[in-house]
Order: sequence, then C-alpha cells, then structure tokens
Amino acid sequence: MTGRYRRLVAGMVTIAALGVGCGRQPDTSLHPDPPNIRYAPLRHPFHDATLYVDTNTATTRWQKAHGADWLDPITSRPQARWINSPRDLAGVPRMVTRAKDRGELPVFVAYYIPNRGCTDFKQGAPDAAAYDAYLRDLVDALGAVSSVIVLEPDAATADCYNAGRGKLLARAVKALTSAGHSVYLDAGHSRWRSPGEIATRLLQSGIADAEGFAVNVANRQTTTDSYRWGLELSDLVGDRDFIIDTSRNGSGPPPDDPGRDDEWCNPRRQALGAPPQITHRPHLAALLWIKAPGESDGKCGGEHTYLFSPTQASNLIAAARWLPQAERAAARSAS
Amino acid sequence: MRKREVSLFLLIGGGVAVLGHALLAMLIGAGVGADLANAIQIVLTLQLSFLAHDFLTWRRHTFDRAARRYGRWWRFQTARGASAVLSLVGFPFLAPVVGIAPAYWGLLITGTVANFCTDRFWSFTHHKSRTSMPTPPVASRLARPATRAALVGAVLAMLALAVVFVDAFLVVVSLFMLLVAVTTLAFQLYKWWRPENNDPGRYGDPDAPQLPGVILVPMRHEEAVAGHTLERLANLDHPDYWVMPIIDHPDDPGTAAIAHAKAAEYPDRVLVAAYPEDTDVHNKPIGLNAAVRLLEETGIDYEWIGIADAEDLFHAGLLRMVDYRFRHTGAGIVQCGVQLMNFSAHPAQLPLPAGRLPRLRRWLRANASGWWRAANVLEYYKWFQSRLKLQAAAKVMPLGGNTVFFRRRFLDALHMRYGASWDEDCLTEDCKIGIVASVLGYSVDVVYIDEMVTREETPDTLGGLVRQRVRWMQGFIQVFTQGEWLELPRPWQKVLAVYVLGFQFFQAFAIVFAPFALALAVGHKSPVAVALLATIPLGLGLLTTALDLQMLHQFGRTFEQKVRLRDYLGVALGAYPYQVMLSVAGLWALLRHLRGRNNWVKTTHSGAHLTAPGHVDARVLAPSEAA
Amino acid sequence: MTDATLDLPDITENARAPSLRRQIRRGAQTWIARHLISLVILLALLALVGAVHGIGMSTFPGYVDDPGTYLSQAWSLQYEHRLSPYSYFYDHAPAGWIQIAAWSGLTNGFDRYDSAIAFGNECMLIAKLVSMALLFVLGRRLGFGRIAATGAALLFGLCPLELVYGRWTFLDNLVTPWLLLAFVLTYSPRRSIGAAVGAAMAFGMAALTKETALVLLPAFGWAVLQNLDRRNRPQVLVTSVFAGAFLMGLYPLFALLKGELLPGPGHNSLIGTAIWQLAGRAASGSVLDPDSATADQLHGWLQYDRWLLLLGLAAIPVALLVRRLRPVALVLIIQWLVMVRGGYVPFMHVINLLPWSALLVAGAVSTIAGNPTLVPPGWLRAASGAAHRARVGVAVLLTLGLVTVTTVSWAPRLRPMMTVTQEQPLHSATTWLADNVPRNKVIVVHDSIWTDLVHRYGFNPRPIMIYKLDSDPAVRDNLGRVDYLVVPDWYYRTGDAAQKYPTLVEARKHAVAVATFGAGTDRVQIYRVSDHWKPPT
Repeated sequence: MTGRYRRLVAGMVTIAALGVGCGRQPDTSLHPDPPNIRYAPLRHPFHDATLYVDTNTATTRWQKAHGADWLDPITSRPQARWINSPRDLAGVPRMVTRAKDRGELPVFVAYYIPNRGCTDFKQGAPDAAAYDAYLRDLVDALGAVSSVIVLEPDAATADCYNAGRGKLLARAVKALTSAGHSVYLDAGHSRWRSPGEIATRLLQSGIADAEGFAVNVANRQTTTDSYRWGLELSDLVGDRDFIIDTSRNGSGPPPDDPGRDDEWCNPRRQALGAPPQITHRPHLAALLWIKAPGESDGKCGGEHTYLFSPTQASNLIAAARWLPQAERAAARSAS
Repeated sequence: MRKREVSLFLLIGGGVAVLGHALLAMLIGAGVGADLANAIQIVLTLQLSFLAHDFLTWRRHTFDRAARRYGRWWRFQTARGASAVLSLVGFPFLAPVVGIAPAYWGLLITGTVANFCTDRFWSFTHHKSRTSMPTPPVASRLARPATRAALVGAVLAMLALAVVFVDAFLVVVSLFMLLVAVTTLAFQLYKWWRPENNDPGRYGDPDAPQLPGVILVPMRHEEAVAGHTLERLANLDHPDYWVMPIIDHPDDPGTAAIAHAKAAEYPDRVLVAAYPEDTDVHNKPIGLNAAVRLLEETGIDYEWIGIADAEDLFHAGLLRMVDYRFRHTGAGIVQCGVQLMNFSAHPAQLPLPAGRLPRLRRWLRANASGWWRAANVLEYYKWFQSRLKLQAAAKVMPLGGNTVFFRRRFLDALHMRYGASWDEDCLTEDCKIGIVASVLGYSVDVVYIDEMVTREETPDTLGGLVRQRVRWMQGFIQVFTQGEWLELPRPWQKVLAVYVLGFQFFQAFAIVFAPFALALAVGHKSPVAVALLATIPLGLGLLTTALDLQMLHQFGRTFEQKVRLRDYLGVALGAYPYQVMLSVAGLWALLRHLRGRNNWVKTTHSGAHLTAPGHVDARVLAPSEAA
Repeated sequence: MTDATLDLPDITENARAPSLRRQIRRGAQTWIARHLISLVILLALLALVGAVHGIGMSTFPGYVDDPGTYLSQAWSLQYEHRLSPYSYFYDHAPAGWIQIAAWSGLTNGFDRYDSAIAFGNECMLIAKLVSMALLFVLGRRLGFGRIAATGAALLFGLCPLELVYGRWTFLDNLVTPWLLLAFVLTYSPRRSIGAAVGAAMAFGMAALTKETALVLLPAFGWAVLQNLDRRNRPQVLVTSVFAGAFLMGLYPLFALLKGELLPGPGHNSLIGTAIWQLAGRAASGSVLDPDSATADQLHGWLQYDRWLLLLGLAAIPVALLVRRLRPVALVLIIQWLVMVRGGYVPFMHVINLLPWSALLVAGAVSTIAGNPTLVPPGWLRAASGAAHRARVGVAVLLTLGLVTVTTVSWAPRLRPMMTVTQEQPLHSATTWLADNVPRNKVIVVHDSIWTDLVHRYGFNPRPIMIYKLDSDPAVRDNLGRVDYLVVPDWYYRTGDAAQKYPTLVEARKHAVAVATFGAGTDRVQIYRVSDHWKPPT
C-alpha cells in the first residue's frame, strides 16, 4: 500500500501545484537609505532683493577723476566687491551699512585662499590659520547684514586643488553660512572642467551647506552655455542654485587660437553681458557682474596693469549690443 | 439508465462547481492568498465530485466494488486533471482564432463530454478479468459503423487541428518521423551494434544432425525452376529428411509432371503432395496444411518442417546448421537468411520486350531498374541480418517468409490453438505465425550466414515489386485486424507489435513526407526550433542512405559481385523514390483491404538468380533453357 | 529418432518471464555490485571536491567580465525565448547557455538566488563534479588503477588554479564535461555503435558549447580510430561521423534558417563573425615570447599554482610512449600549441589545460609504476628484478612527492579561497541600487549584475550592459538617456578607455559618485549622471 500511498500524495501535490500557478513578480520596493549628504535648505537671498550698486569701485574713482560720463553704463550698475586680502576688509563695514540703509543686497567675493592661483603660496593667505583669521574678520566686518559671498574663484577648479583645500573651503562655507550669509562656491566655467569633476570637488568643499555655486566668474562664456552647464552641475550637487557672471560675456568667448594660450587675456572682442538682474529661471538665482568690467585681466593683451583700464572698459561698453547706441558711441569715441 | 446517468452527472457537476465557488470566496475572504485558495478549492471539489459520482452517478458500475475504489479514484484524478490541463492549454490557442466566448463554451462543452466519456468508459468501469471469455477480435470491433465513424471523425478533427495549429502539428509529425527514423536505424544497425554480434563464429559449429524433418515446397506454374530446385533440395547434406512439393494437379500439369519425375528419381527423398481439390481459393496455407495432413497419413517421422519457395536454392549445409540451432537454442522457429542477389540487372538476363526497338528498350529497362533492385537487395540484406534479430530479441516477430523452419512441438501447439497449423484465411501466413510464436512463448532464432543464405531474385519489373509489396502489406493489415497481437502478455509488447506491424507504412509515409514537412516549416515561418526539429528526420534519412552505400560495398565484397559507380548512384538517388513506391504500395494495400479483395497476387520468376556469380553448384540452367 | 532436445518452454513461461522493471532492477544491482568500490571512492571524491569548490564560492573569486553575459543570455532564453537580450551575433555557439537555461528551467534557478552569478556558481559546481567523475571514469577506462584514477580526480578537483577558474561561469567549464564524456564513450569496453555515436555527439555538444573545442578534433579522431573493432568498424565510423557532423551542423543550419549565415548588410552573420574571430582579433602573442600578453597570462596562472601545469607538461613525453595515452597527450599538446601559435588566447584558456594535465600526470606515474594495461610487457616493463624494483620505487617516490607538494603548496592557497567573507562590491552595489534607485532609471551596468536588475528588481527600461553601450547599433540608436553608471573601476582605468567606452567616459564627466563599494581595481562606484545631460547621439 506504500507505493499507492506515495502515488496518492504525489497526485494531490501535483494538482495543488497546478492550481497555485507559477512565476514571480520582481521586487520593486524602494527603501531609500537616509541620504548620506544632508543639504542645507536654500535661503534664496536674491528673492525680492535689490542689488547694491557699489559707489566706491576703481571704475567710479577713475570716472570721477577724469569726468568720464561714458563710464556710466558700468558705474550705475551693481557689481561685486572683491576682498583680495585682509586690507580690503577695511571698506566693508561702510559698504554694508550703506547697503543696509538702502535695503539692498551686497555681493562680495572672497579671494584669499592659501596658494591662490597655484603660485606656490606666493598669493593668497600664507596658511590656513591666516585664512581662518581672514574669514573671522570678514564675518565681523559684515556684521549683521546678510550678504552674498562668492567664495574663492578658481579655488575648487584649480589644478592644485587637493583634499586639504577642500576641507578649508568647507570650513569657510560653514563659518560664513552660520553667520547668516549666503555662500556661492565658485565652480569655474562651462569650457573648463566637466560638471562631474567639479561636482565631486564641490561636494568635498562643503557645497551641501552653501547656497549654491557661481559660474563663469571672470570669464566670457555665453550665458546660455553657462546656464546649461550650471543646470547639469546643479543636479549633481543637490539642486543648489547658481549665479552666472555676465560682466563680460556679451560677445561670447574669444575664438580659440592654437598658436597662443593667452587669447583669453584682454581680448579685442568683448562686450558687457546681460545687466545684473534677479532671474526666475529654474535654479538660476541671478545674473551678476562679479568680475569688475573694465579691470584688466593682467599684463597681457596690450595692458600693463592688473587694475582698471579705460581701454577695456570702452571696448566692453562699445560692443554691448543691449546698450543704447548713444552710450556705445560715447564709449567708442572716448577711447 | 443512460439518461439517469447523464442527468445525475450534470447535476452533480453543477452543484460541485457552485460549492467550489462558494468555498473559494470563503477562503479569499478569510485572507488566504488567491493562488492558494484556488488550489485548495480545486483539490477539495475534485474529491467531492469523485465521491458524489462514485456513490450516485456510476452506482451501477461501482456497486459492491468498494475495494477497488482506489483504482477508480486514481483514474478519475488523472482523467479530470488531464482534461483540465488540456482546457487550460487549449484556451490561449483557440481564443484568438475563434473568439473568447466560443472558445470558452466550446472548451467547456467538450470538457464536459470528455469527462463524461472518461468516467463512463474508463474511470468507473472495471475490466473483466483475464480468465473470462476472450474479447471479440479487433476486426469485428472495427467493423462496427460507430467505431468507423468515430475513427473518421478523429482523423478529420486531427486534420482540422493540423491546419489551424501548424507549428504544433509540425512538432508532433517531426517527433513521429524522428521515432520512425530512429527505429529504421536501429533495425539497420542492430547487427553491427556490438562487435560480438558480427563475429564470424557467432553461430557455433554444427555437429552431427539428429533431427528428422520435412521441407515443403509449394509450387504453382513453376516449370522454369521446379526441376532444378527439387534436384538441389534433394541433395542437401542431411541424413534424414523429406522434400514435399505441393502441386495443384488439375491446374498445373507441367509442374506436376516435373515433380513426379523428381519423385521417381529420388523415391525416399521426394514425395509429392496434392493441393486439395475442394477449395476454390488458391493460397499457400491451404497447401501447407494439406501437406501436413499427408505427413500424418503416411506416418513419416519429422521433428521439424521447413518452407521453401519454388525458386529457392538452399545451401548444402543449411540443414545441418538448422538442426544444430534447434537443439542448441531450443527455439521453436529457426529463420534462415534469404538474400536477393541481383542488384543491377544485366540486359541479357531480361526477356526481350515485344514491340519496337526491343534491344534498346531492354537496355534502358535494365539500367533504369538498377535503383530499385539495389534498394530491394539491400532491404533483404538489412532485414535478415539485422532487423529480424532485433525483432526476435524484442519478441515481436513478423517472419521472413521462406527458408523458415518450424519445430513440430510449435506446429502442434498451433494446431491445438487454431485447429490448423497455418491460417488459411490469411494472405501472408508467415507474418502471423511470428506473432503467435511470441504469444505462445516460443523463441525465434535468426541465422544469417553469408554462404548459407537462400539466394533469390528481385522481381522482374517495378510493377512486380509493387504487387509483391501490396500483397505483403495487405498481409500485415490482416494480421493487425485479426487481433492476435492483443494476446501478447505485456502491454509494451502489444504497442511494439502494432508499431512493427505498421512500421512499413509508417516508414514509407514518414520518409515521403519529411521534405514536405521541412518545406512547410520554412514556408510557414515557424519558430526556428520547429524547423530544426523537422530537419532531423531528413538528416537521419541521409545517414540511412550513407549506411546503405557502405552496405552495398560490403555486399559486393561478401558475395563477390562487382559494384559499379552507377549502382552506388542508384542507391543514393533512388532512396527517396523507393520510399515513394512503398507508400504507393501501402495505400494500394489499404484500399484493397477496405474493399475486401484478398486474393493472392503472384509474382513471376524467371530464374535470373540462377546465373548470378558466386553460385556454388555444378548444374546451372542456361537462360534459354530456363525461359 | 530419439528426441534429444532441450525441453521447450511451456506456454505459460512467457507470462512468468521477468518484467522489464524487474530486469532493469536486477541489471542495476549486478552493475552496482561489480563497481561497488569505485562507486564508494567516487562518492567520497565528489563530497570532498564538492565541499572544497562549494564552500565560499559566492565570495571568491571576484566578478569578471564574461559570466554575466552568459547568464543574461540564459535568462533571456528561459524567459523571453531569445538567444540573447541583445541581438545574437554568433560570437559563441549557444549550447552553453542553452544548458544553463535548461537547468534553470528545470529547477527555477534564477528565482532561487538573489544573484544570477550565484546561480551560475551552482551550475559550475555541478559541471565541476561531473567533470571530476568523468575524469575518474576516463582514467579507469584508460586502464589506470583505482589509485591513479583517484589521483587524477584529486589533482583536478583540488588544484587552486582550477578552483579559481572553475568557479567562474565560463563556457570552457561547460565544455570540459562534454569532452571528457566524449573520450569516456570512445574508450567504452563494449565498442558498440551506441557508444561511438554517443562519443561523437558528446564531442559535437562540446563544439556547440564553445566552438574552439574543434581544435581537438584530431585528438578525438585518433582516440576513436584507436578504439575501433574490426568487426563493426565501417558502421561505427559512418554512423558516428554522421551523428557528430549533423549535430554540429545544426548550428550553421540554424543560422541559415534565420537568414544569417552569410555576411550581408543590416544583419549579423555567422560567417562574418567567424572571420572576425579568426582574423580580426588582436593577437595575444606567443607564450614563448616573454613580452607577450600570453606570457603574462601564463605568469598570472602560475601564481595560483604552478605544479599542475608544469607537471602536466613534463608528463607529456612519458605519455607519448604509451599507446593508450597518446590521444590524450595530443589533446594537451594541442592546447599548449594554441598558446604558442600567437593568435588570440582568451584569459580562461587554462581551463582547457588542467583536466588533461591531471590525467596525464596520473597516467605517467601509473606507467612508471608498471600498470599492465598501459604498458605492454617488453622493454618498458620488467615483470621482476632490479629494473622492476627501480620502477616501482620511482613510482612510489613520485607519488609521495606529488602528495607532499600538493598538500604543502595547495592547502594554504585553498584556505583563503574558501574563507572570504566580504561581499563582492558589485553585489553590494546591486543591493544599493535596489534600495535607492527608482526602477525607471536607465543604468549602465557591468554584465554580471544585469540579470539581477532585470529579473529580480524589474528595472524597466532595461539596464544597458557596458560593452554593448557603444558596440551595439540597436542600443546606440535607442539611447535616450543614461542615469546611473555602475561598473568596476577597471573599466575607467584601462589605457584605451576613451576609445573602447567613449559613452561611459563621457557620461562619467557629467556624473557624481553617490556610493562606493570595495577597493582597488575591483572598486565599484555608483555614479549618478546629471538629469540635464543627454548622451550624444
């Protein structure tokens, strides 16, 4: 009977198995890990803000000294104040007081990272401690006025970027944001490094705590290209906002000359880019003039100074197609 | 009674279905998963319906048979499960073709009818035990018009399915052709399967003969060869045997005269038996039975009876070997090898046809007939060397026809069972005897020794070959319909018997159809797997042809005949037409059987084999003498 | 005349003749009784080698490039009834992954593991056990004693090099059992047509599993010819040659039926791919050239174990002296010659060398010990006397040396291969992806986790295998976007990554790493590609 019993059981099992059916459904359940990067909430400093017009720039001083009204297109528009060393901190308190009185938003550029420009520590802060001191002083100088700070152009993008610099920048971001300011880390421009590479560096440099990043600082890539690049990068760093420097990109980048490697320096063809404005495009906080228009790129391209050069300014104004013809003509005739 | 069963069946079926649905809803409501609930419901409703049917619907069959309920239960589960699976599988095929509703209702109705039939005829019936009266023969069962209609309906249904589901049809047909091709190869290769089977000394060395016997030689209008055959038969190397030509004296005075002349020449060797006068049908079995009766009357002592055809030339030492094998193996039948010798016709051997350009036509006919002659010769070569042995080992044994020797004990057993040793109604008596031997449990020994084969000739013309085949195939059909194979003890033997009996048909049709199957697969854009499956039987067919070529070479070497390139070509190119011819013969035989024409179609002999080389005998008739 | 005959059987005897089932059972019992000792030894060997191979096979060795492809093809065969999830371009004959798919179909393989590679490991374990058993049987059929056959099986089963390469799901691991089966059937003592047909078909299956097995045709043919019996020789030859050729011919026939046999525009072709493989692949250089890639590969293999390979090489001359071992020696010679030739040598080629090396080493030792089946009496074998004692002594020394060397050298190497506990980086990456990535993201993956993402986690649209990203026109044309990159670091670090995987390299420039697993070249970093970047069409 055992054989029969076995067949009985087998038969019932088979019938049951046929009824149950076969096939399995894929497991699509998601259990997202807690994010290992906590992004600080965005403050949107440019929302409903007016940009502060700096009346104490090199351009304004030259204009006053030479009575050059043709420089008005530049001097009447907001631009950022660069703080290239602790000496530059002196004028900050008066600026922020004036900005606060007028209810406007000042934009500063901190440009004092150790080994700035990869010049073997000849430029920038001598060491991290000095840089920390500089930051502390900057915070003190800014006081209670919430400002926008562009942090260290060319610092994260430099060839000599390393983990130490990243940590330093992260500390700087923390120090500034905890004091109530909005920090935009410089991210380079669209024709230099890939968004992925910059994103990795920015993440190491504390972008999670910052408001966002700055694109095209002191460069001339078109706004469209910079916006595209910035969008890509924004997605990789937690959808941070970004600002684009449109001070000198009205004519786009100078054509690439394989024979020279300094065609970027004071090119003949350059123009003022879009005027500083708050924008409402996705992730683009504002278009700003971060690099002072008219300031020379260096001792090249026919210039012998790092400071304001009227030739550069007149080139910029004359070629800016969005300016009225009269202003352009005035600049043209002035040079 | 029938109406009660039907109404109860439907009632119970409906009731159980409703219960099952309620159970399913209850289970799902209780939180059991849908799949599991369905499974539980199916199992429980099956058991419920079994119990209900067992006690109510089929009470008539199951009354007082409680002990065998387990068998009924098992059959019921299998049948219902199979029908459920078939419906499940069939629905996705049918629904796109005929629409969902017709498919559903069609399957439901078919399923219900099928379930009813399986219940009625299988699950809840019990076969009568073996010791009861014998079941009516298959022939009478087949003759019933209901069965015939059912068969025709089944064939039509299969054809309809084949047209609709071409791929499935191709797969089934390819598998069947594969089975046939593999069987063909097995038949062909069995002898050479193990090296020991091919050892020259495998039959042993015959010692002194001890058994007396008789050789029966039915003859009809065999004036050309009778004398020579009897002469040779009378001079074989055995001390104690008789030769009995069986001749119908009134019909056949010429052969009778030759036979009596030989009887006079060899008085204690040759004894002429007369074909009985009181029958109007002429066939071999009647003559053989008459000869056996004559043996009884004359009181000749015999232990074995051999059958020879009128043109057979036995080897001198054949009887010693047969004698030895009878004693050594205890077999009831010893089948010796028969070999056709002329695989290519020499024009000089054929008669000049009447009409214009006789010599050219004779030359053409000789050269164009090589293909089927060679195939015929190889057929015998394979049949007697290899296939018969395999069949003997499997104990399903259609026999070869002549040069077969029966032990007296076996013939007596036949006599006891059927009233006569040979069945006088059958067209090919030899086929049935083989099956009966398996039924009764007598083994068959197949002896094929190259030197000792009985040499025969291929028929003169292709038409003659076809007629010969028609006769044989009709004989197979008759053996099938007579149903002796049903008496074989084991089920697999019965299946094997049907397969072997029908194999000639299967093989011919399968090989003919193989290229069409492949063309259909390719043309219909079946899945590649189906097309590949369809090529396998063709590939095996090529292998068979390759082996045939090698066998022709071996044949030529063994029998010292020269095999020319055109003979090889004939075998290679003629393989397919030969099977076409066999299919034609098979169809013709089927038609003849269905129309009830069973008379004996005789093939003519012209003695062509007598002049074949390698022939060990002093007296050779010249062709003119033979003609 | 008296009836001096045997008793004829009664009518009812046939009914009492033993049924088929009883006959089979009786036959099986006699067979088992005859082979009992060998069966016991074999079972012990299977248990030992199975344990050594199976313990730790999910964590060592790490993932490499090809197994995932074969498993994905087996998956697509079982679940989509296609030979490849991408278009099949006849790079390998499909029998290898057909076998894997068949095993999975029978045992629901892909569902039983959470990683397709783990299922592949199971298949390789089975293949290893079968190969080892067949090696044992082949040794016995060649005439080795039980000790020598056990030695051959152990040499094969416990070699660290074989363990490493045997755990990977390579086609060569599936070819080995078929080849061994072909030789086992060739040396069948019964010499029937069935054995020869089986041998030819086993060789055909080996060739269909990986077509490079065809180089062994001369050695196989020699073995067949060596083992023929005069009495049925023509039939055996015709039938077996035909069977083998037909089986192998099913592959081009398949291509022909699909219209992809000859090269032409717009479709793959068998002949086109064959020509590319024979002539178009970069040559690896000959092993005799110390600077070639092949020599480096050999050096790498020797790091895992040098004894089996070199001893096998040393055993070849001894084996050539023995008639019965010559075909097997030819197999090993051919496989070494493939490395000397200087064409393309795949890095798993060592798999083709090891079983035959094991066999030949055992055979050589057995010959020296004076095995009567291998060595006919004569000058090679002295039945007694000083020469005999010397030979036996040498054989014993050799055996002892073999045992010592292998124990001392192999055991410490085997141990770390069986005790790695760290999960493979790609496996951890898969789990991370399953937990953190929505299923409609497009992922560029390494082939070894492709099947898991599709089958177990239902990513739709399907992930893209890294090496198909730039080489398959269908993929290139339909590439809408890429969301994640999950490939091991070695893809980024190869010198010509920008030429071989341009889209990958480009995409990484627009992606940031969100998770990292493992270290070194095996490190896997999951890159998330920016939403605002589209791959160039």
